[in-house]
Amino acid sequence: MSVTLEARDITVERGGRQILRAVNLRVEPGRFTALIGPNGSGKSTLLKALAGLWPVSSGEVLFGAQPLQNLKRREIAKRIAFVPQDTRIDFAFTVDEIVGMGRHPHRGRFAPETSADREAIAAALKRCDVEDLRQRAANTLSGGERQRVLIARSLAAQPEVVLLDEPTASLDIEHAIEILDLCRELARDGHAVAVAIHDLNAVARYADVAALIDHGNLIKVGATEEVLSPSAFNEVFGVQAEVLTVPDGSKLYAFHRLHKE
Amino acid sequence: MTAPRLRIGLFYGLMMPALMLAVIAAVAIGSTPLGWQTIVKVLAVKILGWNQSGISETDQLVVWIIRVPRVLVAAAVGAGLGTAGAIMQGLFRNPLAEPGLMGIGPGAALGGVIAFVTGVSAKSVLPLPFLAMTGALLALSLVYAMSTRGGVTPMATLLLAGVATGSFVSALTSLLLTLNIANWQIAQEVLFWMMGGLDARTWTHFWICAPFVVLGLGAALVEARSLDLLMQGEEAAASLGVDVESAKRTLIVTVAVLTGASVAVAGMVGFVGLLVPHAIRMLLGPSHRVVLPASALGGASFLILCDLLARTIHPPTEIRLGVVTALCGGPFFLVLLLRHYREASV
Repeated sequence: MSVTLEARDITVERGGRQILRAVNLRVEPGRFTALIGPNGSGKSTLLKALAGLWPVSSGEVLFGAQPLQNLKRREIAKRIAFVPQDTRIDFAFTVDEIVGMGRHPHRGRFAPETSADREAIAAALKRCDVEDLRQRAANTLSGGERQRVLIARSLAAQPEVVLLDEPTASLDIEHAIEILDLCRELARDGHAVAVAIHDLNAVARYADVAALIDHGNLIKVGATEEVLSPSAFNEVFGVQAEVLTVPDGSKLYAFHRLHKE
Repeated sequence: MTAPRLRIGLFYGLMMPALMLAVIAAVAIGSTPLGWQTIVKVLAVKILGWNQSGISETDQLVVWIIRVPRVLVAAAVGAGLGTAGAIMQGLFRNPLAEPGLMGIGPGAALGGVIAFVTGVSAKSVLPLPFLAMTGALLALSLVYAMSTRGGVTPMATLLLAGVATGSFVSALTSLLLTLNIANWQIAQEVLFWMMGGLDARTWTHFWICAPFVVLGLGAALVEARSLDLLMQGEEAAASLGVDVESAKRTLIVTVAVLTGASVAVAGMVGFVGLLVPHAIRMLLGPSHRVVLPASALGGASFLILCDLLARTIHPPTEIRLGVVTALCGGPFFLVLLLRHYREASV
C-alpha cells in the first residue's frame, strides 16, 4: 500500500512557457506534504503533473518504481486521486452517485455495481463523514459539505496517493479545519498526501513536509518548520513574519507587508 | 435528486404505452379519419403478412404509404434530437446547450438549402438529406479543427468557434435565400425547410434517418458514464480514469450524426433538443444511463404529437413543425423552469 510518488527533475511547459523548471519532489506515504508559494507559482501545475494530468516536457514522475507515462489513465486513476480546485456541481446528482463515480476506474463500461464497489463507497462516505448526505442532491450542498463529498469521491477509488488542489480555499475556518484534519488522518492511515494550500498557519500546524515553490522553481523542501523560515517569507512572499509560539508548542505566524524603498 | 428505480420503472411503464398510443392516434387522425381496427388490420397485413381481404386499397395506401412512415420519421427525428440535446447539455455542463451549437444545425441547414437552390432536390429524394448530413459533418469538422491544438479541445473554444461558424454559415444560407427570392417556388421550399416539417415523408426518409439515430443512441450509451464524469469537470473526469479527449470526440461526432440525420429528413426543428432532456432530468435525475434513452423516448413521443398538431390545427394548411414545437415547447419549458426554481428556493 505504501508507495512514494516522485517528481524527478520535471519541467512542464504550457503554450511555450515553462511553468515548472526541473522540480524534484517526493510525496511519501504517511506524510502530509504541503505545496506552498504565491499565486501563479506553479503549485497547481505540480499537483497536476504528479497526478499525470499534465504532460511533463522533461524529467519523469514515478509511482513507486514505475514511470507514470507507462501507466494507462485508468491505472493511474485507481492509485492516485486528484481533487481539483473546481468544486462546481451543476446537475442534481446525489451524493451517493457522485461518490460512486470514484469507482469508475474499477468498473467496466456496463458493469453493474459489485459488492466491492459498494463497500468502497460506504467506507469513503464514512471516512469523510458524509453518510447522512447520501440522498441529497450534490448541487444543494454547502461548500464544506461539497469539498468532503469530493474527497469521498476520490477515496472511493481506494487510491494510495491523494492530491488536493487548494481544498480549503473557499471554506470558513471551521470547515477548513475539518478538511485539514481529514487530510492528516489520511496520511496517518498510510496515504501519501499532498495539498496545495495558501494558509501558512495551517501548514505550520498540519503539514509534515513543506515544499516552497516560486516562479516555477522549487525553492526549498523539507520539514515544515525548516521551510517556514522568516527569510523564505521575505524572499518569496515579500512579507515579514513574526513567529509566536503558542502554549501547545506549535508556531503561529503574523505577517506584515515589507515596505520596499 | 435522483429517481429511485421505482420512478424510472414508472416512467418507462407509462412512456412505452404512451408512445404506442401516440403512434396509433397519429396514424388514425387526419384528413381521412381511420378507425383503429383498420389501422391494426393494415399493420397486420403489412408486417405479419395476413390475408388482406376486407381492407380497401385506399386504406392500405393511407395507413402504410402516407401516415405510418411520417409518424415513424417523426419518432426517429424526435429521438435523435432528444438524445443529441442530452449529450450537448452534458458536454457543456449547461442545461441550455442544444444541438444547434457547434455549427452543426446551421451546417445541415445550409446543405439542405444548397440542395434546393441547385435544383437537385427536385430530381430525387436523396440529395437533400445527403447534402444536409454532409453540411452538418463539414461544419463540425471545421469547428473542431479550429478549436483543437495539440490534441486538446477546450470546450469554451469549441463553443465560441461553433457560434462564430454557425453565424457565418447561417449568413450564407440567408444569402442563398436572398439571391433566389425571385423564384418563389425555391424560396418557399427553403423557408419551409428552415421551419421544419414532415409533409410527404416516405419510407425512404425513415430509412435515411433511423439507422443513424440507432447508431448515435448506441454510441452515446457506450459513453454514458464518461458523460456523467465529464459533467464533473474535465480534470475531475481525467483524474477518475476517463480518456477525456477521446470521449469528447466520440460524443461530439455522435451529436453531429444525430442532428445531421434529423435535420436531413425534417428540416430545422428547434426546442426538442433543449426541452426534452431538461424535462427528463427534472423527472429522473441527471444520470445519463437513464437520461439518454429516456430523452430518445420522450423526444419521439413529443415530436409525434407536435406533428399531429401541425397537420390538424388548421386544415388543410399544415402549420410548420418547427413552429409547433416552439409554440408548445416554449410555454411548457417556462412552466417547468419556474416550478423548478420555486422548489429550489424553498
